[in-house]
Amino acid sequence: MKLLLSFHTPKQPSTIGSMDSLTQIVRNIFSRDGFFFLGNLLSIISFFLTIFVLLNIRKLRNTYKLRVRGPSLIKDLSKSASNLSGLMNDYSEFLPQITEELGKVGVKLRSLRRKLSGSSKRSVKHVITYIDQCEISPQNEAQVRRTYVEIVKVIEELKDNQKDLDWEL
Amino acid sequence: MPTEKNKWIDAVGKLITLTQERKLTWRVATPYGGYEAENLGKVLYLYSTREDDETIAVLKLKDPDTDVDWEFPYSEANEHLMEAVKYQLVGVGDFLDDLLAQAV
Repeated sequence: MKLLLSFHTPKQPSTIGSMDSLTQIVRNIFSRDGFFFLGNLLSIISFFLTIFVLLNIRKLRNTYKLRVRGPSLIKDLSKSASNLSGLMNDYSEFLPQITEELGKVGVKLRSLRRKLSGSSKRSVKHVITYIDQCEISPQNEAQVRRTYVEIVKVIEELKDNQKDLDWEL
Repeated sequence: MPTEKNKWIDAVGKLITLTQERKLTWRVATPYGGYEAENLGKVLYLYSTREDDETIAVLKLKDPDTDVDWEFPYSEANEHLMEAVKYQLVGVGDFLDDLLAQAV
């Protein structure tokens, strides 16, 4: 028997030692402090998970809105850009109409901005700033023309964005 | 924004401005249909074609010496340029002025 015990002796300290430390860890976890710590940790993790889920739901909702409303808003924008281009055939004669058309474009872009994210949202914001800063006067034709070009650019980007949405949903 | 495409939109936007300000004069391109204009030693061709059941405006740049042409990437600005060219060729502005000045 002694011989048998001595045969097993070298392995025992490490196994028993690790078993002891494992038991200790389990005991620590199930102690009051351990429960507090674990509870706090899980609360923090679930808080971040909730935020993550909420952000994703918001993104999904916006994508859905963009998918449904996007095409008609882009169509309206295209129509306004076309009108704007036509009105600029005789810029000084059509100043009130140009003001009205730019106003319409601004409203449509603001509606689209809320539904967008990423680079498209930045581009739309950029054009809204252009429109807001654009003073429509006989002396300011170059700036109005610049704004028109920016509108056409953003329409092209939004069209590409709509094509990408076809793959997302 | 995709900058490469934007550069072409800028270019077509400039052509629209030049057309509307009568600094670029277009004429009917008889052998091919559509319209043509000369600018900076090159010839610009603008014509309508059908693509995927839609009529679109195509803008091409041609070198008169080599006869090689190059197509501008499509954007809505092409359609606006087409409208500006028609406006210039028909003389809509002058017609409107004359019409409004006409005694009744």
